[in-house]
Amino acid sequence: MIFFAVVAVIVTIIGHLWPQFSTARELEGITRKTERFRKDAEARESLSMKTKELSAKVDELMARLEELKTQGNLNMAALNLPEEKTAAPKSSSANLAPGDLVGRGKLVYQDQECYNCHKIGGKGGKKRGPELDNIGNLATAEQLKKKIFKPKAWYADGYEKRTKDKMPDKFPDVMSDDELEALVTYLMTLKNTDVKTPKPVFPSGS
Amino acid sequence: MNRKIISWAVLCAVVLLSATAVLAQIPDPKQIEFPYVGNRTAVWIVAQLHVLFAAFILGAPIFVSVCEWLGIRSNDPRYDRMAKDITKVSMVMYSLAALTGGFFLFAMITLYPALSAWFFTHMFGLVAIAYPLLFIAETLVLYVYWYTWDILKGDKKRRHFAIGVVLNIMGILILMIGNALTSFMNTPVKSPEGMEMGIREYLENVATLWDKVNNYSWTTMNFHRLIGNAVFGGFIVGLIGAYKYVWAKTDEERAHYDWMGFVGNFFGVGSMMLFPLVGYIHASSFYMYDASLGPYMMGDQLSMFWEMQGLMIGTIFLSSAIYMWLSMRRIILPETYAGVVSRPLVSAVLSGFLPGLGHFYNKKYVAGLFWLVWVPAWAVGVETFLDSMEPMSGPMHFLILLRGFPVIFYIMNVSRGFRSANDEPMARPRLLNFPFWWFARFLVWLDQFSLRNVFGVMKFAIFVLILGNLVWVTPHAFVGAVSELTDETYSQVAIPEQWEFLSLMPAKNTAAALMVLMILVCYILYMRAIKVGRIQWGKIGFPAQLLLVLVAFCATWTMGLMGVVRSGIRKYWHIYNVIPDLTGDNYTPTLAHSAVVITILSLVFYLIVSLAILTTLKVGEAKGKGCSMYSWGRGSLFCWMLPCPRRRSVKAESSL
Repeated sequence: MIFFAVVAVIVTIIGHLWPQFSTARELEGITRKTERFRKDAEARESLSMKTKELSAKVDELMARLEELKTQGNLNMAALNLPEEKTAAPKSSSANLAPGDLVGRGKLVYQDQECYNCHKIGGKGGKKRGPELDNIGNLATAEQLKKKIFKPKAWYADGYEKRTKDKMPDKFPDVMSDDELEALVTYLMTLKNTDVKTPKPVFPSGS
Repeated sequence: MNRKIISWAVLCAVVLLSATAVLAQIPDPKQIEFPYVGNRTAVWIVAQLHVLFAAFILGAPIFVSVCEWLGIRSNDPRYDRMAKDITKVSMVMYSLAALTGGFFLFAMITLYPALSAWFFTHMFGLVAIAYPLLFIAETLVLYVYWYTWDILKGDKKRRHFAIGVVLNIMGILILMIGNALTSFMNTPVKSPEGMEMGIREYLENVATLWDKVNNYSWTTMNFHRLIGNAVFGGFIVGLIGAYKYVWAKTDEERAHYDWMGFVGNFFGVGSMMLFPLVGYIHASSFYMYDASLGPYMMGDQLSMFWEMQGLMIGTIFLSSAIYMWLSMRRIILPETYAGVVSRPLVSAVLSGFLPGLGHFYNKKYVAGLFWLVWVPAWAVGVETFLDSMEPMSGPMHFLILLRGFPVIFYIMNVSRGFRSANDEPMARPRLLNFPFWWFARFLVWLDQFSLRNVFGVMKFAIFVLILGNLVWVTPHAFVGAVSELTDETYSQVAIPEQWEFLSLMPAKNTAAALMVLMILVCYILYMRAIKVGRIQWGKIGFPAQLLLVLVAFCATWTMGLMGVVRSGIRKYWHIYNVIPDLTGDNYTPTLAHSAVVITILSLVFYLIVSLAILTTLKVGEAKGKGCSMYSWGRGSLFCWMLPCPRRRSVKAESSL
């Protein structure tokens, strides 16, 4: 038991000696990334509550109508029901100024860990994905959106035959349209011609 | 026996009914907070304990069946005795695996009701039908296996072995079901190419149960965990052998348990040699599924876990090698035997291979040649220094291979330390470019002049330098995000270009391959020594038993560590890209926190295992005491949980 205790203490100390990742920093990113899911969950909960409330009100009204019917003094026209008005929800990115949108795009780039495979300004992963410094001159916003949400839509020159390090196809599942808009706006600002960003190659027929 | 089976069946039924009843009554599940440790750690604790017990009861039968088969083939009764001892311990472990499994299920249902409901809804046949049924079936087979041990002897032994094979098949099937759930959480099946459907929509409307089971990492996880369990089983057998050796009263017992410890360790290390290969294949399945999982696992938040893993695996291999060295001391060898290997050649090949390969891979031939000269020189220097510490003679020559381990450690450390070169968190490497070779030569020259006191100080100094070098090359800090670094700070933390080759896969693969190669050559030399010499079983020293205990502990700890990595790959998702974790526990646990939890769990596991070994194999064998569990009192947990063939007879005797 003493031996176990000694070994246990040693491994625990070694575990503390390695550099530790900042949990607070990670949580900041996670909070941003899960915001939309949290809102969805809250919306579902709120919808569920509202449904319950409305259901109770409908029951109450039905009971009242029945009561009026039985009393014989129901006049539908006198009810004067208002017409339902529906407004399309506004995109949150639509309210942002272009500068803010670029800033938000940078955060999306960070949160989605694009730097693991791509380089901007000489910083980031190598080899896995192309450097993006001049992507704003080589692709349109629509092409970039298509690439992010459908990675096989086109390839960067020289990256056609990637199998293991191919671009993930998860982004439609984990990013909102607003985030995509912001990310592409940021990428479109990258126009450094000194860096050899590979040209897009579109498969024949696309 | 019937009462036990019925009890377990009732327990399973109650758990399932409770689960369905609870889930049916939760239209809008609210989060319950587990006191003190929180929900995630609470589930972590029960899940990890369950996995440890389950790994033993799946790994031990593999070992037992192999032993039984070897016993049949060789007519050596020691194999049968060992297999029976292990099965006896497995019975207790089996009950504990079931109990912790029940706790795990309860914890999931109460603390993560929405996730549990998802699994019950989408994988009902697997979770609620196949798994419990197989569990009950395995219980039945295990009892049949145990109770027929003394009945199916002699000519009927093969039938008993066949029952063991059936037991193993059931165990593997249970393992595969468990793996289906965990691998699904990591790599849930996506819509096939051309279908253009989101993952959630596909899972809800199109994917079949088989699609969900046969996900991207299921097969590789099956292989990985199967081999892992075999390794674990072997090391725990080594632990049992060590305990029994220390408790042994007679020479015969010491000889048997010395042999048992050796066989357990041999089985564990032998199985472990396959680990790097299956590990890489398993990791590659994550890369194939989603390339962003790779950097997260190997170069981001979880990268330091791999540093720790390298250290633990290195300790396991090194301890096993030292165990063999101690084993060699009890082999009587003929005068003509020589296990000599050219020291400089071994060092040069081992240490030069890696950097040379790395540079040739990168087509930097001149630099590659430089490394091929410099690093071997360094390695030979260390070799010479170590060699000078203790004169070697006769059979001890083979120890040169053990001496190569510091070199391997160095390479492992460097290659892992540099792993982050391509990724966000980067290491700050600094190396001591010290001419070790000449320094070591100087020390040897000093030694020849018998300046032993000065030599002792110098030896200590060089030892500190080697250690310092090792510490220096390890990563010093994480960098939060590359994009936030200025050009100046980036250059400070970036890996120097001339060292970048060490972060390449060939470098890492070579380090792992060398580690395996070293231990393999050690075993070959050992087996050669056994062939020409005579082993004095029971003459091994006490430190060797401590090494067996250390190896078992390290194996358990590493399992816990890799469990955190496997689970952590999901990032902030319960099921990756499908169900987000919106609780406050959705961040990656730090290595420090994980180390504390894993250590506590390993200690708890070893406390229980030690108690199980003590009750089943020590107390039970005390003469005239009857069943081991009975000796702990009728009402004890083990007494209730285990079938006790002798208890009935003891009760009958007492009633007379």
